[in-house]
Amino acid sequence: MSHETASAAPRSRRGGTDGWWPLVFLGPLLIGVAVFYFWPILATLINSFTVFGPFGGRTFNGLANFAQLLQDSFIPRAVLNTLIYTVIVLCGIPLAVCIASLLNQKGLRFARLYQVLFFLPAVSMPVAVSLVWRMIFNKEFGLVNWVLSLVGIDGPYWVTAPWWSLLAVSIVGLWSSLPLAIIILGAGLRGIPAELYEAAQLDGAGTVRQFFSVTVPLLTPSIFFLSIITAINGFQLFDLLFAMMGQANPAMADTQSLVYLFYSEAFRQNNQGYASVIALLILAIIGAFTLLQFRLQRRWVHYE
Amino acid sequence: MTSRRTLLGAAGLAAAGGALALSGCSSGGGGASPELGAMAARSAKDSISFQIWDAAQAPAMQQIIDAFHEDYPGIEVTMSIAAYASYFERLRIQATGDDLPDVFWINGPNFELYASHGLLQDLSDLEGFDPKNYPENLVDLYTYDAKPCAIPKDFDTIGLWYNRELLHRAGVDAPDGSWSWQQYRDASEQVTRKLRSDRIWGNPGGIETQAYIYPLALQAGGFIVSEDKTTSGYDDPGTLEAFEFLRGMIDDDIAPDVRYTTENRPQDLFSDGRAALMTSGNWQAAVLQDSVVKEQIDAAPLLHGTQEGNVIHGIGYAMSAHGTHKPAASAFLSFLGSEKAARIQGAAGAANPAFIGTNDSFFDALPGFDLELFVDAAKTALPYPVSQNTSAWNQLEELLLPKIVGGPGDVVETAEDLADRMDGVLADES
Repeated sequence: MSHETASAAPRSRRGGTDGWWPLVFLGPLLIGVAVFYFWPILATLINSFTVFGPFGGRTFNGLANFAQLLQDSFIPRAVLNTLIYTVIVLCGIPLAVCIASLLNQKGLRFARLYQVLFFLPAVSMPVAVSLVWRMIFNKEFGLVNWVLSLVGIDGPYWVTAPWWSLLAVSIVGLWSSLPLAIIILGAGLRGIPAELYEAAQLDGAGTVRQFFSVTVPLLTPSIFFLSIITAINGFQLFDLLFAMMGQANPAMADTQSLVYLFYSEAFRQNNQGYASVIALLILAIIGAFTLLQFRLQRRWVHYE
Repeated sequence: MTSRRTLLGAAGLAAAGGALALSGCSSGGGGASPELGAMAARSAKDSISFQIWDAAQAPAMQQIIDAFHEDYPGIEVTMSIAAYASYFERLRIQATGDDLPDVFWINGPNFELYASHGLLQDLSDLEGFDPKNYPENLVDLYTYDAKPCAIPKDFDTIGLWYNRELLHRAGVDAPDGSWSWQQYRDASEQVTRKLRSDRIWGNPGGIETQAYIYPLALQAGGFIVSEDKTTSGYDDPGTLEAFEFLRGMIDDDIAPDVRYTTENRPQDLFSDGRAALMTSGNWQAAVLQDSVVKEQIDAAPLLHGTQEGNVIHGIGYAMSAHGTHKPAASAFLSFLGSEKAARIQGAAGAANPAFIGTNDSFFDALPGFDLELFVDAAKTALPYPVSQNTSAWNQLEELLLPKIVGGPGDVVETAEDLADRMDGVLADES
């Protein structure tokens, strides 16, 4: 009897006047999500079946844009470049874990100063950052090749040779993704109870053992979150590439990312229909990669 | 040999063909009336927008606006400057939103796109505008369906800039205007070999289309886009010969690698005294005027290939066909096209004005250079290659020309790839 009344109560609430109240509060948000998230996705889907006039106006052209995607020889290389970049930027996460736990150490002197230094990339303009790095990577006068020359190495053309340019852009991408990672991991670190370290210490674990047996496992939820957003950001590589490589760069054809290809089709070549197909491809890749990560998380993420 | 006449004639035919589908530059749908209407009176009150892309020319444009303001004190002109790199993206978005500036700069590569969609005002009836005041090939560049849709603002042609002192140090005679490709190559080689230790090049290489690649391709009997604008000339034997010539100088270490010139622009190498020869336009005069090598340089007529080849281009002043301030815009546009405005522009050293007979104002502003030869070149130069969607294949050029000229990969193979892709873009135009 008590079971029945318990389940009946919520049912009557759902049917009652309370039911639409949450919607009133959620409404503005839902409208925003619909207008700024779902509508663009739907519009992209529709556009992918059309060809645009130079000044607006669309005509339906069936699957022609998708057929073009399969034949476009720039696409496979752009997919590969985007994946390589994303993987390299993801490699920044272990680095960020180390930096964050060093910064989080008790009694660290100048901790605030280090925090500010590591946070600087996050508050610098991406384009300004790119231009400075472009100078650092200059073949003839750049800092990197000067350092290499000290040990007798003749450095490469960092931003104008294929592969090297991708590496250079990835290094800057990794560098500029560190601040956010350090903040999120720092918050995660402060959430680890001190008793665990005390217990580990009593069991005779040294600093290194504590790091791998306590810190890393308990950070995995933060690491997982970071790997999701870092990968998504990585797949959207554009501004760094655009500003660091510049126009008429001999390496550009071999270093283009998918979003760069999207940009040149949509805004330079005025092929919005075909660009929409590229956007869908990016969406599919990000979706698949994120799904994969969620599948894999059961194996390595520890929730308390 | 393709003469300018036949090419222009074909362009006219193509324009006429297009006219069957879309009649003229100002009769597109929507917006205000395509009629130009009467010009504003001196006492009129209004405010109009004016958009340009070159910050270096902004002071000269502002002087012109101020001079206009004296005649029309009630008309305010607000000038906005967009970076060239994004100017035409911005203009296209403005056009799509039916929000074009009242008066704006346009160039050859983009003219036909806007004119054929009826976005540019037909200026046939503009008071004070007479096409006879400007070089014929520029007027033709800005004529669509037999109607003038922009007023030529300035013009540029290509010549051979040289650094007297560097050539002298390497024991090379200054160019006399009769140089063949081989002489250019030999002189470059001699300078590069002799002055290599000072990091000085004979020529600064690069992949500048208008200043370097187009003229050479034309001189070798090639072309960029066919007369009927349906096929790319990038796989034409003549064009390929030009590519082989340029690639050969890089491969033989006479000219710098394209990777190098991406980091060190050819014009910077030249104006820093690190290159002895440079094919480039009269627009360099204003830049070189302020350079450290000013006293050492001059210009000579361009190289000569198996046939003559030079390209002419110039900016145009256009008016939105759907603007709502046409009387005021007409008054301003008419002033922009006047001899007075041309002289202000020339005297500021901003650009060689297109108005015939005002060249001396530009020459006087930039003494020390022989700029007459650029005016002479304009008489025979071919129009800058364009089609309706030029920016689409310009982007392909930007992506693939560096690989063709600088490698890696095979010249012919990469050029054919570029030609194929460009053919695709041209096919989409019709």
